[in-house]
Amino acid sequence: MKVAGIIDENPSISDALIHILRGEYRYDPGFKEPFKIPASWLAIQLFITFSIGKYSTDEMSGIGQQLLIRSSKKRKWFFGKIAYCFSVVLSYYLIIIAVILFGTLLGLTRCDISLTGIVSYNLNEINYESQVLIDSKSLLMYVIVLPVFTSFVISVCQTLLTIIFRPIVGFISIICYQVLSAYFSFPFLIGSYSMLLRSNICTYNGFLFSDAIITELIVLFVVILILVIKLRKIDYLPRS
Amino acid sequence: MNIEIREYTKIIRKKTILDNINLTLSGGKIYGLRGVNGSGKTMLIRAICGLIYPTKGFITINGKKLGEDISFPERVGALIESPALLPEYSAYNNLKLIASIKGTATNDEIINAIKNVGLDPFSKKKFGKFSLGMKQKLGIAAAIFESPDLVLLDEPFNALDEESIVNIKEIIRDMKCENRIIILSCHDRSLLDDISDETIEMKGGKIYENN
Repeated sequence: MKVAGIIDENPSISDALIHILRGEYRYDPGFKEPFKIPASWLAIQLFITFSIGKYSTDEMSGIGQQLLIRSSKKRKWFFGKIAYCFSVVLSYYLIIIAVILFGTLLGLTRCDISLTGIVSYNLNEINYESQVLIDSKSLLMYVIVLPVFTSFVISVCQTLLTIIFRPIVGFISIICYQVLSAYFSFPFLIGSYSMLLRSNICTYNGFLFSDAIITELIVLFVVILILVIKLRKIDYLPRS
Repeated sequence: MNIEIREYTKIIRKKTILDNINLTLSGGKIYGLRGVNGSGKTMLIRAICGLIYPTKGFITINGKKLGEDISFPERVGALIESPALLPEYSAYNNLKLIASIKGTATNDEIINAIKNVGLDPFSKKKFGKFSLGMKQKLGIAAAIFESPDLVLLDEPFNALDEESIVNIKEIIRDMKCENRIIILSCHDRSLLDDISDETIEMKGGKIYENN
């Protein structure tokens, strides 16, 4: 029996964090259970996608253009866009943590970073039987580090599509990619790596932290390689 | 300073924007680009700036191939189409931000550039609240305040009153020096003839006339 993300009456900070970022278990089309869209997870990903939006192409005109022609190398400008992606992603996750901490000040959540036992058991189809709690180190890796890195890699992919094609192409492609990541389980659909419930600490045959990081590093390397190669021949023209 | 443009052709979505452009531009001269809307003036300025990649041909700046040896001209100042700086920053803060990239312009140079174009360098008024003419003046100041070797001004006289046009013409003339190339585009033939040493007429992406 599993009832994902149930929070007791007085949740800790970690309980609340998991409730927002847990995602959904892997969907198996073979079973007759309907596909459940991980709404809060998808909402966060969409907010990030909106924020990345057309920033990189906006930077091809106006003050961005002034800075670009003075930067002397296109790579410098490009790595500035990558840094922007990282800052946007980090900001979103920090906002989520800040909101939870604000909830603590209001007395909505307990000022405690450990995971409540019942939440840990309910999240966990493996440990439910063995009654083993998810430790705080795993929690940090799977609920903070991995989602931040996953969202960053996806935002760099969006930047690639936006620069090479146009913002709308990047935007729609990333939304489709995220929905596919929620529906299918395939290593290069990296969106699912930001869902705790699909990890090996919550489900049988779930992904390993190391596998997720390696896959994402491969994707990041390929995307940056394409961008660096393409960068020389890209036209820096306003695109709408 | 020397710019060589050879067989430069740019095709975007099967449309030829620049068609086999051949030009040699040398330092100490003001070049005027003339032509109707869509004739390719702005695209030629973008090409010289390194903002577009040629479908065919090349541009060299002081012997260095643009897009291969160098990404952009080494010391360039440009006003391309409308000046869009940060709306929430004042004139001074906008130029200060741009200056931070190269770090060559001093505070005095920034203040003088803003003063010279007829704006108040100490005004707290935000760029977003500027009139069109004020925006244009700040765009010109942004292009020239670092004393670049290559100055590219696309329609610099747009939205300026007569008095400001006289002032900007004076600034452009004063900037002329041995090693500097100044290229400006304008619709107004008399204005361009008055200020340019050479005028280049463009039509349908081609050089139509070079005087």
